[in-house]
Amino acid sequence: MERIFNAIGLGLVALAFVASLGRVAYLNWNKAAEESTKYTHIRLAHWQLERGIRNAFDEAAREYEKLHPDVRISQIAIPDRVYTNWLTTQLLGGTAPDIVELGFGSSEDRLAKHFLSLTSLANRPNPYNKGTNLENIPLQNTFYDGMMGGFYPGLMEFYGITLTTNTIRMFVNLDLLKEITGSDSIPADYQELISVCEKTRRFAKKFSRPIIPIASSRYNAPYLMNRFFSSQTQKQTKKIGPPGDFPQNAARTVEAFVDNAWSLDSPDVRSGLELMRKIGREMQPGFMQGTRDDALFYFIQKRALMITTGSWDSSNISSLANFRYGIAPIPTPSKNDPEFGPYVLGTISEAATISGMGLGVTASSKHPETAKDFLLFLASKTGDQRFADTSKLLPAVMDTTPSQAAKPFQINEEGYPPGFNLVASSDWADTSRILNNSYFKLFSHGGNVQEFVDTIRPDFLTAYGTDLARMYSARKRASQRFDVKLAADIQLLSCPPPTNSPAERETKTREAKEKVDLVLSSLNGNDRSTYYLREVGEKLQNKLLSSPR
Amino acid sequence: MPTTISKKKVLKEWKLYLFILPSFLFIGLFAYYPALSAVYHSFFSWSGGDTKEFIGLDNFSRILGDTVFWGSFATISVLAIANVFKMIPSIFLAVLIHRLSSERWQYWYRVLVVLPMIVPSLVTLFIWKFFYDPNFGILNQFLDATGIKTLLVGLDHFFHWDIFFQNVPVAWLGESALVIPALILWGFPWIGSVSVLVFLVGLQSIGSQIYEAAELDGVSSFQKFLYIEFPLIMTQVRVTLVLLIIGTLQSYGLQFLLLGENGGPGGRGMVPGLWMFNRAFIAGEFGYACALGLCLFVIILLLTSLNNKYVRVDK
Amino acid sequence: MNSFDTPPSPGPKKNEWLSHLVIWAILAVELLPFYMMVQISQKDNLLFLENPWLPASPSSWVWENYAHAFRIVFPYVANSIVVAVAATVGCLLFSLMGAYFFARYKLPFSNILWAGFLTLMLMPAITNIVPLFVLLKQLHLLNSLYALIILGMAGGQIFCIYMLRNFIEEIPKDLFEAAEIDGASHWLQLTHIVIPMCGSILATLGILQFLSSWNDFLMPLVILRDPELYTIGVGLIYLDGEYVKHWGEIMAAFLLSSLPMIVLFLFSMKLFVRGLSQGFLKG
Repeated sequence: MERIFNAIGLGLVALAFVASLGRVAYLNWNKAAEESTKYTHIRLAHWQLERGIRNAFDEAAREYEKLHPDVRISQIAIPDRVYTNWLTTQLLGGTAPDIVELGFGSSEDRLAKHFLSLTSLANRPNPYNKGTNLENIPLQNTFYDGMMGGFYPGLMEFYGITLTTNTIRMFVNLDLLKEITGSDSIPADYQELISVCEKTRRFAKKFSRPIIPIASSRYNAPYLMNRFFSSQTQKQTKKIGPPGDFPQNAARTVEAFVDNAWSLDSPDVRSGLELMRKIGREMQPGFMQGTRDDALFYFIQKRALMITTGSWDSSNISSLANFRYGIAPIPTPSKNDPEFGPYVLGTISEAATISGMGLGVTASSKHPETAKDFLLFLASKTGDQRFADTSKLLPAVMDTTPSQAAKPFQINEEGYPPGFNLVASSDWADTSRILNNSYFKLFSHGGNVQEFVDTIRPDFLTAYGTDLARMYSARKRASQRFDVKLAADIQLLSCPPPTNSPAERETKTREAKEKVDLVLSSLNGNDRSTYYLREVGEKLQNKLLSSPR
Repeated sequence: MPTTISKKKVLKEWKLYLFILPSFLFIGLFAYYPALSAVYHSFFSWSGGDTKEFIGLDNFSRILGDTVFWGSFATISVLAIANVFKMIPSIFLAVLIHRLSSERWQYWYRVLVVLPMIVPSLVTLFIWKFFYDPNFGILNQFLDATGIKTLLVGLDHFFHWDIFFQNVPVAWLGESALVIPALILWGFPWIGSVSVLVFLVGLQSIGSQIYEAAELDGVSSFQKFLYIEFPLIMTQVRVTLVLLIIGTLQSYGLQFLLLGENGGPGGRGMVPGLWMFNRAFIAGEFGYACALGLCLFVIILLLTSLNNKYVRVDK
Repeated sequence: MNSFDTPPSPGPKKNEWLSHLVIWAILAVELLPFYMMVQISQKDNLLFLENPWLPASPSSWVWENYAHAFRIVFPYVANSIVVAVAATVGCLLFSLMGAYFFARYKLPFSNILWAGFLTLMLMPAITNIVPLFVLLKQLHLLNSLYALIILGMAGGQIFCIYMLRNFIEEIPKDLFEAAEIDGASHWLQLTHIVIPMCGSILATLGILQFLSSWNDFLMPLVILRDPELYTIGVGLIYLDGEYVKHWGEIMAAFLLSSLPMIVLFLFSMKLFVRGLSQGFLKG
């Protein structure tokens, strides 16, 4: 009996093995045949697991294959959680896909080492724009933001070609809203928002239904919190003033902090934190521990009236929500707000939003020209239009029309620039860590603003200093990198490479000259900003030394 | 015992070497070569490419000052000690099954004990992760339903932990103070399929007359365990223990998948293996990662030899 | 704790029910993940939220979960089967040969080789992962299933040789001698004497080897790039990273990826249990 069973088991294993082997061998053989003979295979990796975006890449790939029958394009979607590790492994192993989404794991160091510069592409017209009004315009200028999302100031090069623009909006479950308030009108200003939230809480309590006003997570919350906080610092920021052409206004904020122009006790900062706490109290308890999909799950399952998230989640929500929902801008307090009005200049403008989802070409790509060509195809007027239509995202190229679904996400250029935030970007790692480790004091039931400020105060200045020092040394390294490049380009200029045709030599020389000019001017800018960072850093150090601890 | 073949005869029997050749090649290429290469590269600043820079002992002096690395040993020690206690349920279950009179039941319980082994370990891992989910996980629902949560909140008030609050779901893997408790609770009731079977084998060598004698003396069941059963499985317990500790020291997959490459909130879940993985495949510092691995190897070797010297139990 | 006082002797005992109860309680908690996986795989998110604990009534089962999960998991399972079976067979074959070499004869260099093999048992695999990655890169084996098969074969080698050597040494010498007189080659002796005599230990080692291949996810995560090559390990990690979680589908995928092992287990339960129990008796 047992023998028979064992034999059957072993037989099944053998059968499964043969079947699987057949499948794997067949796939392998197909792949080998494809790669060796007629097809150029291009792979594209990204972490946009949202269905709409995956479909958009697929569609673009099929269209491109129609134009170029000898090319096959496939995409690899890797969850953001393991993306850094994955990309590092692939880059070091030399197996990186031809095209890679930039962001996680692509530091300036790695970009310089493992990616191809796309600066020359950015300075030339996009051939796929032929026949349109963008025909003769250099690629970067066909983007409404000058393709700044793909530009790396530390390296002074373009490494990415961007496709979309993302803005943050508030999604409201209209069915629930009607049930709670009796109307479909989405809160348009801060006071209405708070009153709807209150009504929701009362409604939930009365009918003992588990509904929270705003679904959020550690991923979603910072976007919203920054927006609210920066409404309170608008006036102060206007006073401090942006420091000319310096790309990171954040250093200016730090300088102002060192100069005592603002402090953790300034009324506007306190007011901003108070506002953050008020909003945070309307989110589900413990939201700072939740992940992105937790927040989405609450909203989709009708357990939250609202969710604030970026346009990237739009396709997810539209495919999953079995209720009516509305999308509206985030209602920051207005000038006339009785509570938070005094520090507000006006509606916050989104004009400074830069394009995103930059795609770069890896140095290990076997077909870099095809990969670049595909990127140009994606970034053309029609390509970006198609991509935006399918992904339901905002396009980034000029003169495109956003799809109906993307209309609510259009950049709102009217209004006033936002104020500063305590942490400006992910470059400020130490400051972020200090804040993140203490946020529970600000948002938890028993916490308050004073307690939060008291917790962060001791380390705040030091953290600013550490971050500043790190940015300064990165900048300095970048400057040194320029020296080598400059030397190489000047070399090229003084003795152009031997070619037969004089015309080609002339173009080469011209290109080299352009490059030298570009590098010189950017070096100039870089040096100035590096110097500025040092200035602020020294001031900060003096203050740290003089302040009694 | 193996037959000795002298050097003279060996020419005739050269074919025998072919038998060891495949193993030899595999082990040489995929075990010895990488190991030696790791030792070699630990003296270099190397990011996995063709270029590397000899930096002498810099990597090792950096390890001495690497607070993350040494901090990770605190975490792994706590986990390893917890793992020792986690053996108790397996021993308990083995003894329970062994004392059953029905052979039939004994067999079927063995089958049930082995059953979890056939679920891919990743699946178990993800299901446990799902148990820990703050909002939908069954752990929080269980705590709420049984009122343990209220107790925890009360304790929290008393001790000022600032972790548990009424109406706030506990974020087991999101709160730095809870990471290690969550990792310890992981896999409750900690039955190791193979360990239970191994213990049962040890227990089987106890003859029934010993039990009968014990019965006549009126020995209590706990004494029976202490004086008859435990000594007999001591060898198995010791072997399992050593394997367990070495396994724990090397493990990092769970922490990686659960908490991410940085060891979760506050880096509290960082273990030595994960730090090595992080340096290699996140930061791209292959040379430094090799040096870290070497240190880890030396420490494991030390522990093993210590164990062999002092914890030896006579059979 | 009365039940503990009963010595094991043939015949039913009345007061063992407490022991049974405790065992069942422990096993119930132990098998809870398995139960949750099965029952959630039948539900959609709505149903799951309303009733997370109890199985749904069969009329409301969401069969699409399985269909969807099958589409996702099938390629991963196929790849995993190829890797696990090939690695297990290869590992067993080569270690059998190696063990035969050590167990039957004492040739020049045998001792050195044996010592060399044993040292490796002390070496934690983790120290090797970095240079191993570079080695695979140099051999152009990254992003291929061959790499996983080869690593699987190499990985279990030492342990298997160590276990098998003891078993082969205990086979009565007369058997080999008789075969030698009949003019049987070493290979014939291996296939006709050693393999039949080592059946149970081979099965045990095979199962363990198969499981470790099946469960591995760290090496595949580092090695594989293309989605069509993913083994279960990587595939499930990527499935868990989706932004929109359909718990039912995810659990169905988990269930399907356990299915091959479950089927195998059903047919070789006795061998499984006995092999695992006996395998360590001599080791």
